[in-house]
Amino acid sequence: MRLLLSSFKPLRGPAILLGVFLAGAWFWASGLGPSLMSYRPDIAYLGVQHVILVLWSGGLAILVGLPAGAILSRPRFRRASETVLQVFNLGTTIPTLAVLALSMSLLGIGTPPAVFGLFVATLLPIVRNTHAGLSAVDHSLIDAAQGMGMTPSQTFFRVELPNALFVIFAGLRTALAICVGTAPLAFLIGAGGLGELIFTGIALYDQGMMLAGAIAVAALAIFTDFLVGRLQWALVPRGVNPLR
Amino acid sequence: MIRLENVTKVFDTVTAVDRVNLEVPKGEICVLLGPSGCGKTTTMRMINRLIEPTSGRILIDGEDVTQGDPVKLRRRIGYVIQQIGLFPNKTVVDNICTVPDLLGKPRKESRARAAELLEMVALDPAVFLNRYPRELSGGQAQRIGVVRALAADPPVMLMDEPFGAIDPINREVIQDEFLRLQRRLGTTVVLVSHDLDEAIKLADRVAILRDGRLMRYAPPAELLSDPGDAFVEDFLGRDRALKRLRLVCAGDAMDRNPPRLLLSDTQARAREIFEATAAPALVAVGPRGRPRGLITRAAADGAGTVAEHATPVAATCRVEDDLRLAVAAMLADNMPIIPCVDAEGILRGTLNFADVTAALSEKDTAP
Repeated sequence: MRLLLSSFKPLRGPAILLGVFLAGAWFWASGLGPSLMSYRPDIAYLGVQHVILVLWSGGLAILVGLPAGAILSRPRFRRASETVLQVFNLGTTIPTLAVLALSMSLLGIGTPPAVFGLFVATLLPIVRNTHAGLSAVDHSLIDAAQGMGMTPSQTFFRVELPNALFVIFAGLRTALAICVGTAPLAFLIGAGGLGELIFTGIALYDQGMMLAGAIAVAALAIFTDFLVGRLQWALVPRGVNPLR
Repeated sequence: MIRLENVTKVFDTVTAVDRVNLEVPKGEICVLLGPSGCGKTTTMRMINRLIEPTSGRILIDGEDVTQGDPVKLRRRIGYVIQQIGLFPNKTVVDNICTVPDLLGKPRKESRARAAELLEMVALDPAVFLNRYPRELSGGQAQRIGVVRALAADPPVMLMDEPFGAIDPINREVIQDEFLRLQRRLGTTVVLVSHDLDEAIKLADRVAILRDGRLMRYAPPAELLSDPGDAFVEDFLGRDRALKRLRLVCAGDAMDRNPPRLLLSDTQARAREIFEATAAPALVAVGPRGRPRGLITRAAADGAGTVAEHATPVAATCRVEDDLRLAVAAMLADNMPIIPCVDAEGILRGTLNFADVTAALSEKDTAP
């Protein structure tokens, strides 16, 4: 594919432009474009709801997941960590929809149960990557750090964490992508968000409404991934950052 | 000075180190040597308390290190490990300044010192200071590992097989650099090794351990000439006599006043000298005193000058070379005698196999 594209290199720019133009023309002529545009206020309102859901559940998952992964990676918990991670693994095998249903039966409807359900779905990749990243730090680094007189907390923050950061960020990217992509289900237990457009669109067989929600969710997911990717690029030290 | 008094370490039921007594004088290198599992690494790691001794005392400059804060203690002791353990997230300069930074020393000073130390191991600071460890070769990384341990000018340094992972050619070079650095800074070093050649090369004293017990503690020359017991003898190997060649330099073993024979002298003069000496061959020199030819006893007959009968000099050795190099050259070029020269190439003495034997037996009787 790459080869094919590169052999037409001089034509590539104009060809892409033409493609975009044709797609846009069809999009508009079919009536989808204007119908999407009419949902702009809804997208703005529900988008904010969606982002708030993601911020709450993702934020909580990060706040809980990072320390949990770090604690599980300590030598003292090495044996326990296997069991705990198995439990977390079990957690991901339960479909998010089921988790939402369960949390609704416990917490009722509205935002709190939705945040809880999304939190559970987001937590695992964070815990797992934090644990894996910290466990994979070469033991000789820790030996050298201790031997040179670093305290345990200095060893953790100056040596272990910076060297595990790339893997931890990879976990955050996955987790937040899952979070943004799962959040539309929150509509089903009355928490709003862009899922409202998608599910209502499906129910009414309104393609414009459905697409308005779906495209907004996709854009949000891509934007989130891009944002975390930039953070990863900037925050992971250059010496251990394969991207730099 | 480091002193271990009756130091013992028991892991569960295994006694890893058993009542070891050891004293390393200031500025000397002590190599802990032994087969794997003999307790040498455990012994070393007890000195900076990465492992706490079960009983016994460890004194550095008269102060008991088993009391007090281990973190403070470790910042005063240089530490080098085989895996090097440079922090990949930090630049070379930040790696080197790890301990000065922990001690809160002024950045400017420690950075200047880092550059100075890098130059001492033949690495250009302008090139290397801002590199990351992943951009270094193995030899460069190991040099920086040593430099990092020296950055805060510790009086004592611990090294766990520091040159084990380097190829043999680089290893010799880095060992020489390290020796020079150590002599210059006067650091007291405890080095763990399983390599006898390394121990002989670096050590002022070698401690041989077996099953946690100190079997022998002696300077390398003494160790090789008199192993003491069967285990040590076995560990040193049956070719230990050859290893002793390393410990004597050619200048100490050579005949300092060899009979003076010029290339332009007559054969009769050569015969005259051979009658007065037991030497198997003679070195003939040119007008300025550079060795120009070898003549054996058998070749010193007939008339004419030495120049007509002498064979050219295939190899010479420097006065400061060790006997191993001198003997290797003699064997390689089938020479009964080798001229020893100074930096200008002027003959300073000659060395034959009898001189080598004599030098080694002299070491035998030395205390």
